[in-house]
Amino acid sequence: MSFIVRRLARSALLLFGVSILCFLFTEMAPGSFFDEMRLNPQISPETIANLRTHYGLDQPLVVRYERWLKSALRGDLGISIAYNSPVTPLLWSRAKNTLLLTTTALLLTWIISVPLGVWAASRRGGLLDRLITLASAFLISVPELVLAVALLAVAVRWGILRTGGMISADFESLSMWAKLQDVISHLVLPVCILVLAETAVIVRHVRASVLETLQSPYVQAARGFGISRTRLLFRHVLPVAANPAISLLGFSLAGLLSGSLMVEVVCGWPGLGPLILEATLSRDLYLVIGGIMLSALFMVMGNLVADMLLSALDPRIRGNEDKAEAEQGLHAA
Amino acid sequence: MGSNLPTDSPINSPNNSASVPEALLRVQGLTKRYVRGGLWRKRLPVAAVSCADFYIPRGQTFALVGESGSGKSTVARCVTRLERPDSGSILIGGTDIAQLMSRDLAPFRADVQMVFQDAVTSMNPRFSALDVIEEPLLINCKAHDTPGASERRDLVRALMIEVGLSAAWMNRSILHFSGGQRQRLALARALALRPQLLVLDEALSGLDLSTQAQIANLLLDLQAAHSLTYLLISHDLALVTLLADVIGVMSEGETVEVGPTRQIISEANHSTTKKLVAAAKAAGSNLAQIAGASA
Repeated sequence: MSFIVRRLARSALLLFGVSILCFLFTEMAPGSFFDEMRLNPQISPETIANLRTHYGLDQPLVVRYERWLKSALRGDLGISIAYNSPVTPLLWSRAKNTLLLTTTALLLTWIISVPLGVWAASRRGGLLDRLITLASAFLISVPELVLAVALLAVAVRWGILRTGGMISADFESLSMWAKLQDVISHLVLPVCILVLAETAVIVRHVRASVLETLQSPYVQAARGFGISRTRLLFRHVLPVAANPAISLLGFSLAGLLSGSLMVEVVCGWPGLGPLILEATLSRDLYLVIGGIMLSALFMVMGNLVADMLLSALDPRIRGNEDKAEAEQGLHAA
Repeated sequence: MGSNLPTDSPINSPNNSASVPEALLRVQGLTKRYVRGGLWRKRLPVAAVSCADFYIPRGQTFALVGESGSGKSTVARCVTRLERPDSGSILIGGTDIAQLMSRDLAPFRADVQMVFQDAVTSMNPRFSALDVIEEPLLINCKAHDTPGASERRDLVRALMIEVGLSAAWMNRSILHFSGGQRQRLALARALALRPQLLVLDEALSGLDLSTQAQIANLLLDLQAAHSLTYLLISHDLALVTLLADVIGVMSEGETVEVGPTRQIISEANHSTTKKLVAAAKAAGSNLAQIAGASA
């Protein structure tokens, strides 16, 4: 329990640090939301000055950060200048769609990657292993944007997948079942892009991890007892090889979120991606910061879940935590 | 390679004397090659063992010594059938296990057990002492009558006491055992199936001198108690002299010299043997005494 509390405290501290860096970098970035207004002769400098005062942008950085922090603690994450509304509801309405996309992609990625990685490792040097190694090397070397555009082009040319948006124009008139089918059919293309890109990475990690475990002396010892392949895999190899894979889960979640932002823009999926891109281009300060904070929150939560899983599954990690706690207790005494 | 062997070495006279005990293990013309290379590089065969010949009489200790990379461990892995040899024979009690398929090896698995150099990595890090020792019993359940849970615990308890560990530590994670204690655990695990032959692959390397001596004494006690036969793989000639009845020297994948321990120490013929003896003497070992006694 204290392990979770400690990790939560660390996560909060990390998010606090990220928020400070966000403010510093956005301050250092050139231009502001009002730059285009200044070029418009119909908008007077007084109006722009009043707007800056209204959004508190005339205040020093420390004051703005303090106000934002108070607003974040209330759950607002500041006010979007472009939408003139609190950032959190804006982000949440889009985050739901992003979560649908990333969760589906994450589940499929792991369902495909783990068996493929284990299969390739247990038949090292075989045809399947070589095919998987080659395909994953190819997919890793192709930039995700190129992959997304290529798949989009194929989908549009052959008309095999729904492209653009999350729902069809006649969505409201559809039955419940038809609505579900409609969303799924729109989901296929962006999910495919994300799964292909992420699977290539995770398959290689799982393969390497299983290979390393298969070559460890305790697996050799078990083979010396005449252990069956199934028992070897499930009792000895997978539980130990799972550690690096679980650690990867946290990064995978964060990676999927950042990857999904680009895929959403390419596929027109109404998630956080287009919103954050639009906010960045228009320099909608608090919306950009809110988007980054949400991304950081995803990463922190992903790593927290991975750490908790590792702690629950591996006695060595629990042992280290206990030891660390005991040492802290000794120092305190 | 035969020309390097002394005429009275066991390998050259396995069948012609009534005084020679029955051979438990006989390795003849063993070869093993690995293929180096990969997806992008040309695959080249590398001979790890080009010709290994020796035999071990029941109840004796045969030490296979040689420099690093001479093929000792590959021979050990072939004898335990962790690797399948390319050619040659490995006769255990008269049956050649060299080319047997995995499913046909089951009856021999229990007879030949291996103790690895690194006791820390040779056990599943998630296991308790009980898990480690009872695992071979569970794996071999088809080949043997599997004992029940309480019977297994009794067996594990007895084995732990036999190798000098407290049975009260049975449920402790192996992470809480020291290096020497884990080597004792490894011995208990190897003994769980009551094997006839124990292959000790550098099993005493990496331990401090005092622990080495304790484990060496334990090995001698266990051999006396269970009539065990040992195949001891080592690069430490000084240590080998304490345990082995016969020494085989390997060089570049071949057994170049085989003979009784004292004879090998005092009348080394092959250059590799001479180098090993000289190195051990330089390290201030008891070889000089052994050589002196045999002279």
